[in-house]
Amino acid sequence: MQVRSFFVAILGILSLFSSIVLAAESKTFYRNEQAEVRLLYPKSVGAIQEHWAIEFDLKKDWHIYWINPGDSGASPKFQFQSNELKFGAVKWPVPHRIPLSHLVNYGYKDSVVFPFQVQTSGAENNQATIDLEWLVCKVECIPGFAKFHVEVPLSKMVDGRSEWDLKVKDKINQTVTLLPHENSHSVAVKSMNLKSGVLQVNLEWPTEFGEIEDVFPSNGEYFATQKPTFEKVSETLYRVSLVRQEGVSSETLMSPESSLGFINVVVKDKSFLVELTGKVSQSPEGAQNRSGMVSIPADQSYMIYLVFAFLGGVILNLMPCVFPVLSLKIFSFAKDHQSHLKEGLWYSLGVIGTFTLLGAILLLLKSLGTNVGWGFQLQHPLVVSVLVLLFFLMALNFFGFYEFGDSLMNLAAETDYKSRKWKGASFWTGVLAVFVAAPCTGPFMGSALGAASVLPPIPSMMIFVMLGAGLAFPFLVLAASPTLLKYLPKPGAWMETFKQFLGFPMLLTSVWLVWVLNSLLSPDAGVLIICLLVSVTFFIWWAQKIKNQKTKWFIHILNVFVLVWGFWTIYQMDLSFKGQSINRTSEQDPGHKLEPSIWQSFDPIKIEKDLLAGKSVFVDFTAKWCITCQVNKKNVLETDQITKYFQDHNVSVYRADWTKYDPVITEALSKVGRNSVPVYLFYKNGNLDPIILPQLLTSKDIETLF
Amino acid sequence: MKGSLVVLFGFLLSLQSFAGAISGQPAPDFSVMDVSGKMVKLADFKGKWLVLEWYNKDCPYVRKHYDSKNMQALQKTYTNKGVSWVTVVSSAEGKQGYQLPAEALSNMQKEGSSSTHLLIDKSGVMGKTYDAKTTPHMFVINPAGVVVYAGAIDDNDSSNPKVIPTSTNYVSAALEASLANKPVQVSSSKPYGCSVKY
Repeated sequence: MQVRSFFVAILGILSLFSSIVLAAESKTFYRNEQAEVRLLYPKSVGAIQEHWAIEFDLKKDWHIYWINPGDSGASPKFQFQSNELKFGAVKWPVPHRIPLSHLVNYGYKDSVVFPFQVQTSGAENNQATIDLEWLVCKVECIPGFAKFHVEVPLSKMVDGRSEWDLKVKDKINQTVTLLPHENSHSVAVKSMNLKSGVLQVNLEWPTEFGEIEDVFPSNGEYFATQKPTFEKVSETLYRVSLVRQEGVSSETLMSPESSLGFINVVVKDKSFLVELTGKVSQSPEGAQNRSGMVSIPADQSYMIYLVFAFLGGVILNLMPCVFPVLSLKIFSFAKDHQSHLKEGLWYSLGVIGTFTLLGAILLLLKSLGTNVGWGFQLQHPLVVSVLVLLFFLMALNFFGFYEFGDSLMNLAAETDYKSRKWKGASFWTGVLAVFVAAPCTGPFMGSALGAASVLPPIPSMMIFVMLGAGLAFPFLVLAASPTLLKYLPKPGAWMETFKQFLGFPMLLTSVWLVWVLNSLLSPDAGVLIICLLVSVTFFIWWAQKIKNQKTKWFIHILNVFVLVWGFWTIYQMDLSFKGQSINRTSEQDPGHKLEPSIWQSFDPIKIEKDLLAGKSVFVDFTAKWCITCQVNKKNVLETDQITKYFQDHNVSVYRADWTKYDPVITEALSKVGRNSVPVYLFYKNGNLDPIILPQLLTSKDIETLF
Repeated sequence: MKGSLVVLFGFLLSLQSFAGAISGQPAPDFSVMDVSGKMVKLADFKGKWLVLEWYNKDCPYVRKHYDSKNMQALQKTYTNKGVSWVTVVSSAEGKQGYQLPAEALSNMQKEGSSSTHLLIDKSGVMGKTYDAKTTPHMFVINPAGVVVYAGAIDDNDSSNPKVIPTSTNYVSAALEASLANKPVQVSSSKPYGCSVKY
């Protein structure tokens, strides 16, 4: 009897001892400086499948990652081992976007609970080991490792349910209710389409769920962290556009082996996990390869560009640069009542030929790799200087300061058919008209020129031809038709006064071009060119006073000599300026009052940060030599009313100054299909899809943005 | 005008890729001082295979590959085969991983690195030109100056060194294939690691 009780006692002590040892082995909590990690589990496990969880409590400002960590970082890893328990996949609560300098991560701050399903096989004693690895970061990152070990008995309850600490169960339940809904029948992928760097996911979407606020892709290898855009295509269809990761080809996304993962779609009070399954098709508009060349668009849209080009050309006739020159020529036709069709045709040839030549030069430069845009001629000081001189000389001619016989300068003269040079004169007038029109890029021309720069050579040249045709058209029509000419006012003494009057717009154009030259180089260049104008005027005056032909020629040569020297000096100035870094804040030229301005200089990184923060961004692509841009600035963008409007709506405004050649701005322009200025882009509330505003702005255009 | 012009995301794509080294494209130029005071440019490596490795001595992921001697082994193997290996530190002054050239050199010697050059890119210009996001971030460039691999060093982003033997190393795969004149299977992957401390 005594021996038996002795053995019982020993067994009792041993089992007590072993249970203490076993209990001591159970490890379900870990703590370090940045995080407290604990396993949330029941006191006894029930018959039915239930959620357990792992909770992370993080130190302030530290974060942990989602299944797709984003641009950097790493998601936590869970490894479950058990003979008695079956563990389901870890479920991920809805993440947040966490920006970190120029990167974006997806993760959680403060605390997060990761639930997972657990099912017992019915064993009395359920043991499990959980290997954890995680990365917690603030700016620097610190990896953490923990090994949990847990033992849970089978529940002895009558109904077989598990027993929990109520607070722990509550925590898990709360998290589970907020988890994204999986396998929803109402939200599913209808189709997917690859289009220029973006995967468009068309989602079946019930209207009552409201507007999509954010979408997180689970596959970080394929999709970048730029916030996707959402577009309601129809009542029940939402289009989510996911930006591709760099280096991921269309073939990869379309191949059946690759799993595109899922997306976590977030609305105001709930979210959904949607698997990206199904075939990915490619947009019929043609793939865009890396060079940015777009294959010829559908005939319909190409035709529209040709029409735009033509209309653009016609409107150019009304621009202050072109109008004076042409109106005088037309009025000279009114003197006789004949058809001047032939002159009209020669003129048209001059115009179209010059436009085509300029277009060819643009394409040639582009094929050589130089990124140029329309208006590029005005980014070169020498070209601007020549134009200053040109407009000045024309003004002098209009004032009656000199006559040039039957040279092209004598634009208001009657066509002298007896001279064999009349065809040439008309032709050169046409050429002149094109150069004179260049500074005034009117509406319609912007998008037509943009299209020309991305189309293959032949369609592109056609756009230039149509521009020329548009420019030449009104002149041709008026020249050809005596009937129309009848409607022009009858010639008289008033014509002389009118001609002189038109000299003034010419002079003003010169002044404006001097201002451009100042910005391209320095005020010294402006003074130099004005000195050249004075010298030219002097030489012309002197030559007029001399009767001797030989001396006359000598004076002309001297004149040319001074001009050549002047231009060479300007060229030297340009070379020395090229050594300096391109200054994108050239809106502040010396002598300008530095007023505090809301306009920041163009910075793609800053703009991206603003957009990620959900801000609205307005970008003004402008140049000093672009008259339309200056007009829009004075009339709209820099008025108090609009400045206040931008401030009230917290819009970040950026100015991209393209006065001098700048490859970054040129690239940004080509990305929106343009290669000329002005271009006005508006990104509303962080939306990646910009609205392109009209080239001629009104206050209403800005005020209706919100 | 607004018509049917393509390029919805072109602008934002341009914000990311106006700088960046993408697989299949020419590598961007760089010109950075190395720890011995010599100016090193991309053109210096014309005609040679080049590996660029972004490094931060305090980043756990860099430590994973250095404490296990994995990175050093790669460096030694391939520099012996004539590949140039350039380690770049783009940490800004005062930020994690930044070291003065003398310190950086002695640190590298302690690590047992066989890098051909160690570049101190403290202004971050080279890093941003290449769009280096993490440490480590690896680029393999061919003798003609074209990027043949850009991205992570291998396929397992755990910071635990014990996973290295079972991970697929993308850099050695790219180099082995290239040196045998075979096509590179994986030319691009998402890099993992700590963010570069610009």
